Amino acid sequence: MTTERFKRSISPLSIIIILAVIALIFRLLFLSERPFHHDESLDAWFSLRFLAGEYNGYDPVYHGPLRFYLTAAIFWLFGITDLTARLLAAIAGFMLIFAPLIWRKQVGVVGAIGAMTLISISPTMVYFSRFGREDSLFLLLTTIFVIFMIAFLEKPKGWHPAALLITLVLSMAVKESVLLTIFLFSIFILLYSLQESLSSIKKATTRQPSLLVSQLVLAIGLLSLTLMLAWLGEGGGKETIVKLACYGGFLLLLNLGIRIVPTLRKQHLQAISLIWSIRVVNIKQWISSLAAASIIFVALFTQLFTNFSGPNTQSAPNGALRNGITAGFRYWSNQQSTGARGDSRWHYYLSVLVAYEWVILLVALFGVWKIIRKPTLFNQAILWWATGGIIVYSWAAERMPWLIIHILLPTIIIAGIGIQHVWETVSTRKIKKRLTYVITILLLFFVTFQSVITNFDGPGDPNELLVQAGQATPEVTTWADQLYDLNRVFYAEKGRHLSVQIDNEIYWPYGWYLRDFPTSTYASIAPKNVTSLKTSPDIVFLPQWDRDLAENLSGDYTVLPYNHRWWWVPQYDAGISSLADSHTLLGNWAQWIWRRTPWRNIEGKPAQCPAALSGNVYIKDSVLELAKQTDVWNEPHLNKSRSLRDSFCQFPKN
Amino acid sequence: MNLLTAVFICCIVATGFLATYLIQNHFRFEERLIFGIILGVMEISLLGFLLSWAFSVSRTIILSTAAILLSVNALMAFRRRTVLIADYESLIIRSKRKWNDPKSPKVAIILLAASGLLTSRIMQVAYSGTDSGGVAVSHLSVYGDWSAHLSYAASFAYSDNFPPELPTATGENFSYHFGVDWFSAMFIPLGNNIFSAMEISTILLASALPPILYFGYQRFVSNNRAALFAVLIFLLSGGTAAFFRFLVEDLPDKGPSVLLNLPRSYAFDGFDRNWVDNAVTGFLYPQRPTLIGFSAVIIVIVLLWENRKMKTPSIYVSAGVITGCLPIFHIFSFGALLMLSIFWAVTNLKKYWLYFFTPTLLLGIPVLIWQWPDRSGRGWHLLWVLGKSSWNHNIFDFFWFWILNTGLFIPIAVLGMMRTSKEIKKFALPIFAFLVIPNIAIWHFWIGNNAKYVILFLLLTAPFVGEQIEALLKGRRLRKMLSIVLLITLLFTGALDVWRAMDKTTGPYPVEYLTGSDVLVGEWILKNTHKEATFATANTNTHPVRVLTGRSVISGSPGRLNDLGVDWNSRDQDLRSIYQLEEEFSALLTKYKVTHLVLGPLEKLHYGLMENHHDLLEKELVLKGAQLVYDQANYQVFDVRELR
Repeated sequence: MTTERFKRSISPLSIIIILAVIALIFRLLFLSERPFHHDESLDAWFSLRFLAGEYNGYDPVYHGPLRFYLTAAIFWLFGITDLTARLLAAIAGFMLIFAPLIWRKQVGVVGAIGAMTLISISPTMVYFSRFGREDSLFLLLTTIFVIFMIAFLEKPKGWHPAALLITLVLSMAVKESVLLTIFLFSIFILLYSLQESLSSIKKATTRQPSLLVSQLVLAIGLLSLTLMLAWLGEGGGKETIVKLACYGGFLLLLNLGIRIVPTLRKQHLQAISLIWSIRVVNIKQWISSLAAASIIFVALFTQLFTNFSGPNTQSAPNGALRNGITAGFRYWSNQQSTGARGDSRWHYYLSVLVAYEWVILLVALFGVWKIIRKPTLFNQAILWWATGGIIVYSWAAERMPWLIIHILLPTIIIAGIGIQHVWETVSTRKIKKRLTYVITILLLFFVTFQSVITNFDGPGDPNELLVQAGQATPEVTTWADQLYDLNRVFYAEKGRHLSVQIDNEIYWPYGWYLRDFPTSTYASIAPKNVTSLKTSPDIVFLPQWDRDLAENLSGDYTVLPYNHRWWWVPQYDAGISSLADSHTLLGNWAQWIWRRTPWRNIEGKPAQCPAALSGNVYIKDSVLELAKQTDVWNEPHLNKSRSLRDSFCQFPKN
Repeated sequence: MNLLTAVFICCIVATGFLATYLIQNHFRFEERLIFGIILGVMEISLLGFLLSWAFSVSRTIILSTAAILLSVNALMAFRRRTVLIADYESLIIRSKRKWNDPKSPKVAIILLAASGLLTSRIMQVAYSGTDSGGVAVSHLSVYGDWSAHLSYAASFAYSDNFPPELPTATGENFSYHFGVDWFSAMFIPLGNNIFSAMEISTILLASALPPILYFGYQRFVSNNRAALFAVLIFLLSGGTAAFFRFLVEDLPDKGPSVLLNLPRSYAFDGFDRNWVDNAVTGFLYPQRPTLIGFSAVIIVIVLLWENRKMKTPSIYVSAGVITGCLPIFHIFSFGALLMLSIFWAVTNLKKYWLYFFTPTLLLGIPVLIWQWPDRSGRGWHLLWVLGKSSWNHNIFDFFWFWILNTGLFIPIAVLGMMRTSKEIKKFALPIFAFLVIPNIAIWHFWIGNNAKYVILFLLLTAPFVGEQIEALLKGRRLRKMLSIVLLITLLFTGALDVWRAMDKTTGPYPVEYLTGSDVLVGEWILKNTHKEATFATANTNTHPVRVLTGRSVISGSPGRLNDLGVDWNSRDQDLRSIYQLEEEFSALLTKYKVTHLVLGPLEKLHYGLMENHHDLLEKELVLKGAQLVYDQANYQVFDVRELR
């Protein structure tokens, strides 16, 4: 093969194809292996309900309905399995890798391929592309929105408003976080208009803002955003709305005020991208865009025009359309006032990002440098997306690991800009170029290694910071399989189905796993309602705090230990109080990064080790005997999760 | 699908893809990839079969087979690496062209994706679980023909059926083209159960067929759209029955919601008025060998057609080798290619045909002899089904039969042939034999099998029909409308049947195929009996011993044994004698070398064993020295080796 041919065969397209294959493998390989998280099982279950025509409509507690429709379509095509329940997230996560390619002109080809590589293998991006919640799909829609928004501001086309509005409606039908997206980018557009106004005052005709203006406006914007969120606090409800409106109004007034000067000279109207873009699109196009978005909104929130009445729940008490418009915001606003969910620490995202994505953060610094030196609409929008995202998500009451990807993706695009900058700097110098190659290979190897251990080596183990408290232990899947096997034997022998009762506190993800289990024979139980236990069920699952309920069981039962969920909430600074202890902190982190060893705090308290929601399984002796006789007893209580959990906190003795 | 399965499938595609570089033909990159699926399946199946025969069916052997062939093909293809790179570069350039450009790969990719999705849907509803832990099926194809295919595949995977013996009639030759079932069996050691193995192998093969048809048809039509029409016309064939049964009967009766629960098949009514079923639901789905056979026919025809002028010997040898291997995979395709090539050779007597016929006959004839049934079922008749079922022996019924079963396909195909180029006309002329043979000959034990010739006719003449539709579509308004009407008449019935196959709850399906007790006894037999064990069981359509374990039985379903020329009647009588504990009971067990006797719900029902007789039988068996080795959930299994 000639060198020229070889070079041709490793064209950007070939690299993109190879990266796409790698991304696909990372997203699909062993996709069903990790036991279901509580939320994943609910998403899958609601999709099943939609498929069966039993979905009652949008309820913000369970987020938007679009993913239920899409997952139901996947179920219809490929069957109802653990893998297909996560397929939508995997497909959305896969499609995200192409986002940098769309911005290749702004980022540069090398930077775009670099960003594509990072999205393909980043531990966090891969983890949540394999996680059957809505975040991967929501991020895809947000990214599409940003693509259209930038295109609309740069080179407006008649179809852009339709695309923007439809993307927003689709996002609304996925998750209420769309409010944050709208808020974030509205502020950006206002600030950008402000910047353009100031620029046009300074430089009469140019549309390119001067360096100082662009830096100042965005920096002040970020500062004002932080201050405003601090002012908001955790008030929630109407108070939040009023404060938000005040902030928006202030920026708008500022804009209008500054625009008085340029508008005195008519040609300067065109210097404001937003105004220019709005005027390019004619009235017919605006009306048809609104109509198309409205029709899609109605279709999505009424289960394709079949149910206008809504689910009639506390969080969605109105008709389907009104719920679609208001219930999401009301729920989100109430969530702010009810206090923090998930991790309560403000630096949560920063800490986890440093733990998993320090390579990306490092490379992104080059990108930030490039953006500061040469700001453009695209650069600033992405920088705003990333930094504004960190501020807004860190402020919001709910801090969950799956929200990290909403901050990470724009950071990766910035890293792409950084990669392009480095490439342009070193490509002309042979030695530097070689050195960069070596460093790149080493860093890529490290990121891949991290991604593999996070996603494939015991996926869902609680020593991973990405694993949230709703993660089921492997015991759950083993027990689910065991129940099916037992039921088959039991039905064949006794002519009736096995009676299984699961405490309502640990009902999920069994609701998903036992979807094909004869439904009438298992029921959730609550402390106030123990009459069902008196019917002497064959198998009962109780959490530790409800163990006393077992007294209501009559007959001979074997009691087996059981772990339902597990998690780890580490103290990131390990409780150090002086710099002298920093070696302990670094040692802890290094141990974790390299060996995923959980750490305890400086005082050696074991509270920092992964914890589990434990309980007991009560199985009738006769059933257990039958299971052993028929060779279907898999000893689910001896599942690896028990021994694994014990080993997580086996620290070397000093 | 697990990782090993995914790796295995990738190996198959890569092996076949590289194999196309051993054939000196000029294929495009995407053609190599899609043709490669079938060639890879054939290669890996054949070598895997030989290695498994020599050793045993195991994960190591299956993966080693894939690794060996991949390495050998890669080494040999390495010599043509410059062609490979050029092909790839060409693909990149061509991928930017519009879909209607003849060299654009877009239509083929879309066809592959669409067929993959549709096949996935059909396969994922094929089997489902029941509350009792059993298995339900959702289509006649699975309930009927797949019962036999399950037995064949299970016999290889679970019972080391080497040298191959008909598992549904112990002691008989495997007089069936079992290649595709062996291919499915290869997925089982990789961690799949028998049902998944059947589904995965079908999805792989069925996804490849539409693009293969498209590539083949492209050679005989003027543009991409005509080729696309031809693909649809073949796959959605099914006659005109739906215009009455659906539009006049079912739709007015049940309203538009009937589309969500179609009550019956429209292209086939159980050999009453409709004998030629839809290509997908009547052939490709139930008759799994066609999945390889039809694709292979197109590949060989493409090879022979492309080289009609160059006459490169190696290409003829390659085409001959592919054809020669076909009796293992689909004997009808072998016969069809042999017949066509003999005609082409006779009308063009040249030495290079020897390159084709030598491997074809050397490889194919021994297999053919080995598979040849002992019983003769041949005969002659005139005008196929006239005088049978509700068809009368008159000229009106003759025409009406073909209109009802194939619509206007035949007249349009004739018109298309007349209007095509002289060269194509000469090449395609012998295809009409497939329309003549079923009307004069009975070469099978069941006359309904004559439809297999008709489907070959539809397969090979579809491009001429597609071309005529396209020609009309290019015309003015009236011709355009006529083309659309014709297209609807050609596709409507088949489309409804294919849609029905994608529905899990269409009347009367899903039906319980195996109960939880069936599955339990099947699992026990797999774990606790020897692979060479022979069972006495009821010869019902399905039985857990046959479909879940592949163990040898005295008799499978009589209808299917009759199709293969096996003396099903005496086996049926012998089974009755065994279960009635008649005098020759022990002699019959010895005759068939029976090791285990099953007494379960199917036996009790099929042989009318009353409660008292059942108890008597149990006592008698134990008295005579049989050992009760399994007694659970209505099933009893006796070890009867001592009784022989």
